[in-house]
Amino acid sequence: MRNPLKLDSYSVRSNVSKKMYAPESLFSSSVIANICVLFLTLVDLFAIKTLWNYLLTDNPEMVWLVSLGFALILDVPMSVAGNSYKQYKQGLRTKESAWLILILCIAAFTLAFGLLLALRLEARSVLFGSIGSSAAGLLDHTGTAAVAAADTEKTVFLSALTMSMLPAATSIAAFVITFSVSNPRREKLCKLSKLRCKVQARQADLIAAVSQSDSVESVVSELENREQALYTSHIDQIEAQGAVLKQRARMLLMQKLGGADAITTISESADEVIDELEDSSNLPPEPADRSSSITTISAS
Amino acid sequence: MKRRHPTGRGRIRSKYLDAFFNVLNYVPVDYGISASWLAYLRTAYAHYEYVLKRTAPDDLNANMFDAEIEAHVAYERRLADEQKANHFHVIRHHERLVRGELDRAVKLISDLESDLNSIDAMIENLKKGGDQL
Repeated sequence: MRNPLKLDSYSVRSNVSKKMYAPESLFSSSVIANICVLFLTLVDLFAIKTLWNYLLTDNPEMVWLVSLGFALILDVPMSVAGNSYKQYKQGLRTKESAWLILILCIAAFTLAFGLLLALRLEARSVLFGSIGSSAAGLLDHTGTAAVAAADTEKTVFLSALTMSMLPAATSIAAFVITFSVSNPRREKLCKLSKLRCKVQARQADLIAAVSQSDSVESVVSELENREQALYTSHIDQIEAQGAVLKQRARMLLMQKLGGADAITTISESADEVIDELEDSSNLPPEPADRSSSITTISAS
Repeated sequence: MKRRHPTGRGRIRSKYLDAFFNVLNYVPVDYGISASWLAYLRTAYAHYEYVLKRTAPDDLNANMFDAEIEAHVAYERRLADEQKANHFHVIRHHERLVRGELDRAVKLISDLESDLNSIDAMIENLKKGGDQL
């Protein structure tokens, strides 16, 4: 039988404290928000891959890696910012902490977005060259080459700008979705309610264990009485063995002496041994009228 | 192969509390006697006969072996007293252990009660608007 106190009496409380005062998570635990952010990240991933696919044709793995990194930096920090801002709005996070997270996330997003924007604008001739060449080819027949070149440049620039705005749109969407869908207060309430149920159950188990346990006083007194009885029985046994030895010694002496007077004297001294034995032990007293009891037995 | 009664590291541990405390698992031990007393019991009659053959006692020497026997009995009594003191000490020791465990249980119950109060306070704060920061 295991002792309930040795199960995890300290870990129970440490776990309770850990769960009660756990810091708020940066990430939303809302399934819908997380799925949306994942989808937006995938959109960004493929949009960014088209850019890097033209620039880094030698190393396909590197293209995927860089694209994934940019996609994550564009969407995940904004989702974190949305969740932290919601926590601040619901009173679960301090203003300083929320603003610090918000500023850091926006800084990370701005850096990644700025780099991508610059890169895409610089590489627009490579990416959207087909648009420009086809437009120029069509317009060359009309003889208005200068106007066509200007229009083509404008189209390419707008195309590059439009493609650059896509990550910004997805990041803003990630922020808005996380902010509106996640509900940190309800999640914390749910966690605390579950924790309360566990603590209550553990407490009820302990109360039951204590109330069902035997009274220490009664058990100790029972054990002591049993021990005292064992001791008395043992001492009685030793005393009886000693008395038997004394009587045996007298018997041997009677056999050696043989005379009637001597035997009578020795027998009388044996009564003292019996008296001592009765005094020291809990043996039942000898019947007062021994002859009458013998008579009764023989008569029956 | 499925183990029907797993033991050792892989065995399934019960997560539930046992219904009662393992209180006072002291098992009484029988009192022992000394080897010298046992040997004396075995050789006493021969010893008496030996002494009686080589002496000339009369009827006034009925208690000539009583002192010897009482000395042995007194030694056994002292031995039993010592064993009794040890046994009682063990019982008291177990009693203190159990009392300590019960005190720990009661303390743990009150600690869990305070934890419950803290959780309730946090829940109330969250329901009011979460100004517990």
